[in-house]
This record gives sequence, structure tokens and C-alpha cells, in this order.
Amino acid sequence: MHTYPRPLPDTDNRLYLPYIQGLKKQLLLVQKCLHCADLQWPPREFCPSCNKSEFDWIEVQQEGEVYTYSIVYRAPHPWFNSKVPYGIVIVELENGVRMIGNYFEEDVENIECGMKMKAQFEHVNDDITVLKWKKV
Amino acid sequence: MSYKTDAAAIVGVGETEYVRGTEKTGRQLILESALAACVDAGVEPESVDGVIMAAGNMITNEDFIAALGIRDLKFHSHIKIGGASSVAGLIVAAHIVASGMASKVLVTAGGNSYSGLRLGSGDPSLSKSIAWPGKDIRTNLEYPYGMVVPMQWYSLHANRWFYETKADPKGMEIVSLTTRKHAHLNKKAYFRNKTLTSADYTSSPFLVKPFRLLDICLETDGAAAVLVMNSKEAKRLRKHSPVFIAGGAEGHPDSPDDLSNRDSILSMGITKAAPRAFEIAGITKDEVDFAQIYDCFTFIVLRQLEEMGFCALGESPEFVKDGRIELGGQLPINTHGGLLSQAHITGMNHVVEAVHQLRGDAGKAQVEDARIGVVTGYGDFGDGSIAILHN
Repeated sequence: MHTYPRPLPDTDNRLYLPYIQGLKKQLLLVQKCLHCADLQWPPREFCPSCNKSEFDWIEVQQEGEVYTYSIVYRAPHPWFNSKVPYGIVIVELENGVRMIGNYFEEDVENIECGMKMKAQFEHVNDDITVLKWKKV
Repeated sequence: MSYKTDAAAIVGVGETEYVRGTEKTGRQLILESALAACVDAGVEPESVDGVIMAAGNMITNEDFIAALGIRDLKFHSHIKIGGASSVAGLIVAAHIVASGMASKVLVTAGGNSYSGLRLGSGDPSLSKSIAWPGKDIRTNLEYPYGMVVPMQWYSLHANRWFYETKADPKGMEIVSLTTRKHAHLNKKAYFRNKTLTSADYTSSPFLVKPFRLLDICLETDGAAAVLVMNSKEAKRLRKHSPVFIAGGAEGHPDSPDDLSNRDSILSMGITKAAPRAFEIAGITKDEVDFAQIYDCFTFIVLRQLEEMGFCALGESPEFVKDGRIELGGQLPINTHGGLLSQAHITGMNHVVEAVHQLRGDAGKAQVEDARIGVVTGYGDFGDGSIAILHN
């Protein structure tokens, strides 16, 4: 049977590269506008508050609460077929940043909004590390 | 009855067959529906001078010029806000004919969403070949985590809604069953002969919680089109009474291509668009006789009822009870069967059904004494559109 590789972030994407490199170092990095100091996530070319285009990347905490989630029973991509049911969890971190990751634990069907989660980092290859959430 | 913004009217509607499996290309289907709309209006296809292509990439203005023999195309536009495109395109058409830039504008939608790449197929090319907005977000933050298709995006919204409001999940079943009942009255509906019981609904599998298979719309092949003219000229046509466009609007959520990081995932495009549309049309919600509400998922019908103000946040499951949204009820919805049970024609089939209701030729599904109808669209990551029509 043909196996399909997991879809992975694009390391040629300059906008996302600091985030991708941060995950490799087990850090969660988000954009901070150098002019108005607003945090921006997901990253974009312009700051919607002041319309400037210069950013720093800062680290945010690795624990937060589930803002919302999805529990998937029919995989939309064959790599995930062996994972169903699996969770996609959006965790709200400090300053309102909400970050996506998977939840592959046995008790996936018990996920609820408000649950406390912390980040775990799954090494995929030399360039890519992806995010998993785990209950605190 | 007339309204200050009654400058434009729908004079013709066209639909292909709604099927699962066809030899025809998406382009053929769209052109077929466009020609049917001209015939319905009693207008020579060659005299069409505007085309608006709602959603999809399978057709160009050149295709219309060639197939319809258009002599002088004065306006064309592509509207790309997914399921909100059909109604948004209708509103653009109204403004174009009102301004005089063009006089006969087709608005078209449809294609091969069954015979082509199916969103429900699990095909690995889904994450590569569909040009959603926010490509960087999709590629870097969603596809790697197995979030690829709309049913998953909508589940993020639905799960937060249930958490914040403690809304009754039964509301989704009521929408599913009501819509199917209406499909039985519509000879074009894909599910016209397939009954649906509460037991069928509750035993249908979850594809992504909280959505069961029967909360999710059809994938079909087909196309639909409407022809819009300015009201003065429309009144001179003799085949049908014009259906007037009293008003309409589109709206976009904040953080428009990212569901997760907008302040509230419950705030949508129609939240902004609906009050604008009602104000422009100069009508109140109490005057609405029926609504054709974009129903790619049962729950998004409930949410649009709330955001349009027909009921309060979290109360839509209560609102839809006791036959209120059925034919004969206070606000019949999706009297043709909707995307859930008629066909997924990106909501252009909702516009067509609204026209039938207001012409009084909706057959067994006719809303008695229908004067004013609402049609909505919902697309991509929460874009909304709404049109208010009357006869």
C-alpha cells in the first residue's frame, strides 16, 4: 500500500521560518510589532494596528487553556488515517495568542474548552518539529 | 410594494440537473444554466452584457462570450468568498445594472463538486490543489495537524458555541430533518425520494465532532444562474413578474482567513452584513416570509439565525422547534432542500428558490402569500452575504 507523508510546514516560507525554527528549539515564537508592540499571531507581513512591517519574534508561554477543538473521525488526508479519532486543539496562551496542535492521546473524546494543556514537541526530521498538546 | 433601493430585479433563473456523476465539465454545466436563465427571462443570450462568476475557477468571461454569442460584454467579475459568493455576486449585479454600466448581468455558480475533487474524499491532493485564502496559514499551521477541509474548520466554531452557550445539539437534527422534508417537495432535489428519520440521523456516524454525516451538505454536480436587470427594463419583460432586490450586503470577519485568533470565533461576516442589509432594504425581520439560509452544515443555519437577529445567541435550537422553520411555520427555511438535501450549488440554488417563492411558482413547497424573502451566503472562514428580495 502506498504511504503518504505527513503534510509539513514549508521551510521555504520566510514569514513562518522563525516559528518553524523556534519549534525545533522547543520554543513557541510569535511576531511582535517593533513600532506599536502589538503581538501578532499568525504571522503576517503587516501589523494591522499600525500598518508597519517590522517585527521581532518573542517567546510565549507553553501552557494555556483549550479555546476550541475538533475531534476528527474521518481523516482528510491519508497520513492521519491511523490516528483517528484524533484531536486538533487550539490553546489560548498569554496575551490571547491561540496556537494549534494535535492531541493524539487515548482520551481524545473527553477534550473540552477550558482544559489546561501544555506544549509537547514532536521531532519529525532535521528541519521540522511539530506541536502536540497534552493535558496538564 | 416598493423600496427606496429597488433599482434592480431578477428576471430569469436557470438550473441544470442536480446529480452525482456527470460527463459534463463544470464549464458546460455553468453555461447550460446561464442559457437557461436567458430563456427563462425571454432575453436573447447575445444581448447579455455582464457576467459575474461566483466561486470556482473553472470558467472565464471569454467562455461566456463564446458560448452565448455576447456581442458587447461591458462588465465581468469573479467573486471569491466561497459560499458567500453567489449572494455577494447578486448584490454586485444589482449595483452594476442600477449604475447603467451594464444592463443584463448573469450571476452564475456551480461545477463538479462530486465528479471532480471531492472535499470529503480524503484525497492527499486536497491540501495542495484547492486555493483557499490564507495559504500560508493553511500550509504551516493547519495541514500539518490534519486540518484540511471545511467540516473541521466549522467544528472549531461549533464546539466553542456549544461551550459558551450550552445550546441544545438537538437543533442540528431539526435543521437536518426539516430540510429533508422540504426536499421531498422539490423535483430537482437529489434526496427528493430518500426519507430521513430521527433514528437515521442519530445513528449516522460522526465525521468530526459535533457533526454527523447528516449534518453535512451534499457534494453534487450542477450549476445555477440568475439574470439581473434594472427594474424599469425588467417590468417590460412579459414572461414573469420581476423579483426585486430590495437590498443586500456582504461582511467579513476580523482575522478573516484565520478562525482561531479572531477575538470571538462566534463573530462572523453576516454579523456585520445583516443589520446593513435590513437597513438598506428598509424592512424589519418580522416582515420576512421565508429565508433560504446557506446550509453547508446544519449548525451554521442555527448560527446565522442568531447573528441575523431572528433569535438570541444560543437560542436558535429553541427557535427552530415546533415546526417554526417548516413550510406553514413562522419562518420556513430552505424550502427547496438546501445544500443539505437538494444540491450544493454554492448557494445559487437558494437564490433560485427565493425567486420561485416570490413568483408564486414554488409548487408543493410554495409559502402562502410570500412577499419578502431573505437569502444568505456563508463562505471560506466566515465571510457572509445577505440579500432581501420581494415581489
